[in-house]
Amino acid sequence: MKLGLLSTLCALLFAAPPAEPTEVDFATISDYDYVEGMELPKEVTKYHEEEISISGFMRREDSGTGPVDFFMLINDACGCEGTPKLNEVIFCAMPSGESTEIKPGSVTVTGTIYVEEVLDDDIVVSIYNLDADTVKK
Amino acid sequence: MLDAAAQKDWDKAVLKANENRRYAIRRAAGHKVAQAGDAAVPAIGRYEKAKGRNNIVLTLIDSISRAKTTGPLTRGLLQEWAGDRNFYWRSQALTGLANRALPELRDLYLASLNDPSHLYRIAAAKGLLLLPTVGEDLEVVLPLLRDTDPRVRLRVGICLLEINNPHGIAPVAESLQSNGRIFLDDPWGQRNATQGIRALEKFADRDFGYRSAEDDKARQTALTKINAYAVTRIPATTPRYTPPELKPNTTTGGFDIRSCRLGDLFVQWTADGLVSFGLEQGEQVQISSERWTALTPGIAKLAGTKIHGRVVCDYIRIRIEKPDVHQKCAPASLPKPITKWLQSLADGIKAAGREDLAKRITQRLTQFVSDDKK
Repeated sequence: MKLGLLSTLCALLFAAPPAEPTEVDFATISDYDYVEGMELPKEVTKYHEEEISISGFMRREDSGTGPVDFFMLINDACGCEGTPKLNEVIFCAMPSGESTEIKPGSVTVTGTIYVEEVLDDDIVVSIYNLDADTVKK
Repeated sequence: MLDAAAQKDWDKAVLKANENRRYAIRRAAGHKVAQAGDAAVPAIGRYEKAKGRNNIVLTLIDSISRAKTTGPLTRGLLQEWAGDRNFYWRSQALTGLANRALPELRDLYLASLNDPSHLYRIAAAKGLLLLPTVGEDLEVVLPLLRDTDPRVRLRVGICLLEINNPHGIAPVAESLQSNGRIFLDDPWGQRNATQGIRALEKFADRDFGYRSAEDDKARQTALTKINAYAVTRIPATTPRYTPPELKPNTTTGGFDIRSCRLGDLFVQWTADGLVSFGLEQGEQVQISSERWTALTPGIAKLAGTKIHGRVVCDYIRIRIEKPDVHQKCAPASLPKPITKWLQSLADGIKAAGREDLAKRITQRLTQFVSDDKK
């Protein structure tokens, strides 16, 4: 028992620091022609449930003003060249009880990304969802 | 003629497509409305009448644009939207008409090739390239491959490749050379390159190794292969454009105006008042040191990070490093201090002998100036 306690103490004392989030960019996660129902490329599924950091431009999901709990991250400052395809949008959720202002310009979002088709009434509504930890300019 | 119950269903679908809180739900509902074609058009009309045309969302218009429906009500709706200069999404509506390859709209496309909006020009080119008269019209489309806006050159190039025309190779290959270009914090060059290489690989039916390149050396190797391919395939008659040389990034501030009505404007400057216009900084003017020094104190009044008004599509965004200025403004929302500062900048540019460039600023500012008396 003493040995077990000693081992645990050593593990805690000498535990590796938490890994830095993996830096990812839109060029990587958007670089394929997405078709509903397809097997998503390994190049993107490898990030499923990983802690990542990615830069992009914030967009409100709704049409209001003020702080938001959810926002979209896209790779286009303007956002008027056309509706982003589903593999060009990351749907970000702020931690429970927190909100953020939509910031002008590029931001870096860090958090856990989920890479899988999410359906609503048999329609794919998202591929990339991210539980945001931080949103920084 | 749909019965009342069916009309009510379409009213609900259109409402969902425009107002559901979640983007993905709006997108899916928009797709459903778009696929319905003429059946849903009266409901769209009712929504438009009740809420205003500019409250129709981009996702719905994009879905209609991409749908293959060609009923008379749908065509009429798209034509009305495309012809409304004050409609935010008029370019997307013109793209919708282009996608439907309607020969009777050829004159509309021909008349639109010089529109101030880059998206409108691209849509007009696409419209002509998808018609049976493409052979005759190629000579009026190809000059767009020398458009000063790199987004136009690329997108028209992609349209050409999509109809298997090799004139598109040159602007697409050129976009790959612009991979590192940015405007303020927007990596437009990388976006262009991503679109460009996918179109080129599809046309050439080969993988040049550009996308999978893990470092600059590997990317350069891929570019060498692409250039070797391009040189053997680009027709001698393709209009060529040499972008301005990529300059070291010494930008300390700038602003962009996105205007579907008046056309976009990109302006940035260095610490000593060298002002560049265009995504590629193709035109430059040096403001006198006296004028530039006089402008500097005014920057402090612009400090802060804020979005003014409700930005739907058109906006003006000003970004300065020191002090930290990052303000984005919807039409009729530009705070007076920013208006005053930009007007002074335009005056400095005019005093430096480039009244033409100064006018590009002042004309577009009119869309954003606030009515607020404060």
